Amino acid sequence: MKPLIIADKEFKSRLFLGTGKFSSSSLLRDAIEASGTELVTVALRRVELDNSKDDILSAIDRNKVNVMLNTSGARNAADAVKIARLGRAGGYEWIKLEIHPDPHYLLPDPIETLIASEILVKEGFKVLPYINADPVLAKRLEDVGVHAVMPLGAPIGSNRGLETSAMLRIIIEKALVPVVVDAGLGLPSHAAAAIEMGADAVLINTAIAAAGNPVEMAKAFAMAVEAAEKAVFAGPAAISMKASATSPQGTFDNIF
Amino acid sequence: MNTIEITINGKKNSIAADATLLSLMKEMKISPEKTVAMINDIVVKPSEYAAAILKNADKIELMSFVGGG
Repeated sequence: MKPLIIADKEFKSRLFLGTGKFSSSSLLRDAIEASGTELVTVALRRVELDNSKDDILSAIDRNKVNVMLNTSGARNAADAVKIARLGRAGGYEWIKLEIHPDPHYLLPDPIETLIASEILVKEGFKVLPYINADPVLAKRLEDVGVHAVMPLGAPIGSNRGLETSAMLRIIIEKALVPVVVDAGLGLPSHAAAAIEMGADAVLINTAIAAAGNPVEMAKAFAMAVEAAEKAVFAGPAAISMKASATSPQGTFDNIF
Repeated sequence: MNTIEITINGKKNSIAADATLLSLMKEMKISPEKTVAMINDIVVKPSEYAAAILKNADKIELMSFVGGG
């Protein structure tokens, strides 16, 4: 596969990692290491006055991995733009734009996402919107200059896999910007299927953070993504409706 | 000592009238390096914390970065 370039950065690993739900900073540090990821996401929240809590982000070495700020908690474009501007004050230029007002399915609002994308691109942010698997929306976002699109496989944290695969295929076929399948992937096989389908990368959080052993699961995802990447590079053999013998043709009619 | 009333992260507080954003963070034992801030919905750059003098009825939001997907 050709190298993955998003905005001005080249990524060797096609596995991106969300940093939510990890129980400690040391576990997150080990999971980042095991995953081989070069892009992690973080969120913005009001300061808590309890300083005794473990600073989870101490696990992130910003010299080694790129950090992208998500806009989770934003209910509309105006909220998301504010979060991005606050992020910029904290040194973040990469924005995972997510606007999901519905608390049950956390499905992204396409209209607010398009409005916010246009503003943030103009303000010079690197904008990677989290979207439903909507090929038309993906193109509209591309038109306003987003740096990648991140369609969902299934609702956030649901671990159900590529439920949107039919639409993902169209997005991948048509997209001129990188496609990162984000949300809902629960198993390494889901991630592999996304890459084999032609996705440029996957973003995983819950499936790793909430696994029995997050570090081992991070490794498993890394292996699956790498295996799928190699498979795409190698070129899969053709699919056929009929059998195609793998042994030389012939029978034992005249022999037995 | 003169005091002013401000709102910090949605809660009313009484603070010294000459407080700046930086002195407020120090008093609250919040690390300025890890904190981003808005005064009345306007983002304040970290380099401006020391010069940002707080006024009566200001609405302050203090935020930091946390784990998230």
